[in-house]
Amino acid sequence: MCSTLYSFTAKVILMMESTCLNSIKDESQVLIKKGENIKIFRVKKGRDIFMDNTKFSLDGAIGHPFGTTFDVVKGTLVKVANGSNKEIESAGKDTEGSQLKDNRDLYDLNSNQKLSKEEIERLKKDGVSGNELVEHLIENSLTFQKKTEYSKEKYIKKKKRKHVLQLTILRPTTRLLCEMYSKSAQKICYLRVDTLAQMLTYGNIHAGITVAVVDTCQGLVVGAVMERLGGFGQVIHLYHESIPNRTAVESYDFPVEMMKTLYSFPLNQVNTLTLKKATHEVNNECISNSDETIKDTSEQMDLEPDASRNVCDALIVDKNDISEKRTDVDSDANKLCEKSVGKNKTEGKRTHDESERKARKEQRAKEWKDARDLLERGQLDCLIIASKLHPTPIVRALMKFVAPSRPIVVYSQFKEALMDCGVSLREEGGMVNYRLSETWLREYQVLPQRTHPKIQMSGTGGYLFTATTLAKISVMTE
Amino acid sequence: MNFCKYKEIIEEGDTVILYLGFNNMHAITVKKGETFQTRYGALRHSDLIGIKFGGKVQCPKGYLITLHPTPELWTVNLPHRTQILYTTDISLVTMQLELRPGSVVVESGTGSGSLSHAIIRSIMPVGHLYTFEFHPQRAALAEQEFQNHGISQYVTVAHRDVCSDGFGIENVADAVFLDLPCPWLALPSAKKALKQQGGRLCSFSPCIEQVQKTCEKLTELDFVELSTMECLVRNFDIRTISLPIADLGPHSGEAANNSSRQKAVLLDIGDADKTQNTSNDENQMKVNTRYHQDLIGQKNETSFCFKSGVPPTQMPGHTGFLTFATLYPQ
Ligand SMILES: C[S@@+](CC[C@H](N)C(=O)[O-])C[C@H]1O[C@@H](n2cnc3c(N)ncnc32)[C@H](O)[C@@H]1O
Repeated sequence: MCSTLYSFTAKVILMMESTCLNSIKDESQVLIKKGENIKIFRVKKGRDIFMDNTKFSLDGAIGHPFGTTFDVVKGTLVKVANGSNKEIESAGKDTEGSQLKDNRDLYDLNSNQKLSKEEIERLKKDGVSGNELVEHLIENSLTFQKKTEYSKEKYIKKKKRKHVLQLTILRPTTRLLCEMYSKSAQKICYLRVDTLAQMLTYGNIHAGITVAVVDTCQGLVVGAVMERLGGFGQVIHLYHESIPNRTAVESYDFPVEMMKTLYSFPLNQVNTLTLKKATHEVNNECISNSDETIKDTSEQMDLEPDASRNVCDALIVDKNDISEKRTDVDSDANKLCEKSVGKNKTEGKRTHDESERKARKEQRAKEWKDARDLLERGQLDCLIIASKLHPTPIVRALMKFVAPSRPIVVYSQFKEALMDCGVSLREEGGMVNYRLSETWLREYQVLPQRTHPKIQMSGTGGYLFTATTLAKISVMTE
Repeated sequence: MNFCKYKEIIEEGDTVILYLGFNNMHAITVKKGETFQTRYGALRHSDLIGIKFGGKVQCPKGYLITLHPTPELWTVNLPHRTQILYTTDISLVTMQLELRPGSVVVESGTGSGSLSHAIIRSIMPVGHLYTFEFHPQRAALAEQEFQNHGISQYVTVAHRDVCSDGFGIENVADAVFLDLPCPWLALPSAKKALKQQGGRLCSFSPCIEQVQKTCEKLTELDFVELSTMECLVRNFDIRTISLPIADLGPHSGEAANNSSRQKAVLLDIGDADKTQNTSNDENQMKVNTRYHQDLIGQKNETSFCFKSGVPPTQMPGHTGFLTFATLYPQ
């Protein structure tokens, strides 16, 4: 059965390769990289985007392969010819002896530049490209030739940043999304790229397996797992909020066929799960029960059945918690407030909403049922937890659904939470190969004669706890 | 067996990881009639057949746990023919090379196949690994291992000197990985091996001089997004620590009334709470609770007791530098 499944999905993959992956299309999700700065956009024909205070349209990228570099010229994208970039970089490079220069003769004066502001503006208006402009600036700089090679490069980089809006359009991948999120790490619970990388290998994530993922990292972990499954196998996202927050998954732009491998199940229904033996009747009962909850709360909160509860829970925690977390929770609460304010405004469309809501509820009940069936089979190949929640109760509730000799991987920003997890699981038994770890990532500047670790580094990428499950019959102590 | 497909029951010919403890595991291939010596006495291979992965097997003096092989368990149990890459670096390589089912990867040298197993796991069932090794015996042994592990359909092992003869393939790879003494010599050919639509490259080198040369060559060959990094892992032991509380001698003056050491501790903690405006009774209660269950651990008259994640006193401080680069579409 597996091999036919493989060959079917293989077709899907190949289709995906040829149609989606290689060229930029209308409606594609694209990562725009400008220097160290990465942002995600969806291409929409005829619509402008804002980046670096500049308004421009992405239409010019359509049809080009991912990985193409463009200049922004008068609000449109113009493809940069290969290698044209290099010339300007080497314009500043002269040969031997440059290392010996120092800055004793250099003064910081505006008059070092012969071109006046007005002249620069005029050149720009005349349609001189950013790169050409930088060349003009170099020619007209009185001090440029006196600079050391290193400061020449720095000068060019600085001027380019100011005058050239040059960007590369890339296909969203886990690597690049991690780079993007590193600038706002609080959104992904401070999970760093090397930590996520460890999670995927220690989880032995590969094509054909079934993985349960508890993710409050905007769906980044769910997306990373889906990328590694490549459409083979299943991912169940166990979500915490009232509706799954999976902004990151959308960023990947997975084809529809691949999205079908994603299932969702709310964490607040986990205690209703029973291993395998559950009869149909029991299942149905559970579903209708959960429908009940939706009905109850939705009276007050409209489409956000559990929102009120979540806020309460969060605030209670907040009281005893360190101040750092307060901002986090507050902003969550604010978000929810905003949402409900927005809802009130649309009150007029009530009746329309009513039927839509019903449809959505049925849809959700079906999704839950599928996810429930998968979980209750007790044949999960991996359990991954990456959340802001205390992991121990989650692991304990879900570990019985994981098949024997499979990895579980738990991430937390805090080592203590994982220590609790480790001690409590060891006490309970049923697992071996416990490991609590942290990785450390140091980046380097590599330049001739100037190689050294980067001045800034990330102080933490969080902690990992991993273990391997055992067959259920055997009760074991390590 | 297929290394990359979980199965439930152990059969003849399977690779099994025998688990005796975190740092005590062995990989064996099950063969009827053979025995394996362990700390708990001799294990007959035939006793393994028919039991579950994740189950236990009885030996004369205790039992062992039988784990399903994974590339990670293989890495810590494989027969060393060379230096190998470990999972910390392998993870970063897999992530940074953006490997996924369908990726075509070129690797050299194969060495002991530690990285190769992990690559194959990530790119199967529709991708392919071309791995190059100039040492004939290593190439042959790697090929044999892939066969035994049921993953040979995803990999081609080539016996070849990639520095002098190149990879001999063009426009096929999404990613190239180099673990060679002189990686820069293989770069021009590596560039050719990458697909026209571009791809990623990684070079692993223990020494910074190698990195320097590699980066120069990469830039010359129009690779971009160069980035060199180092990744280390630190394991923690979860331990209960008990620190003795110092005997600071008898109090004089005011505090002399509370002469017992226990009271001294209580006072110490109570002081912190005095800033809050609470009645004496309440204060006393708080002091007592704080005394029994401090936020960090427990205190009694003689010791402060808490759980800690304790790092090892010695650990590997360097494996190698990983240099990554991108080739944009040509
Ligand atoms: C350190 S080992 C690689 C280990 C491997 N990454 C692993 O994880 O098992 C380096 C290997 O490269 C091989 N090698 C060195 N120079 C080579 C060349 N020019 N062409 C092909 N293989 C080469 C060596 O024989 C050696 O087996």
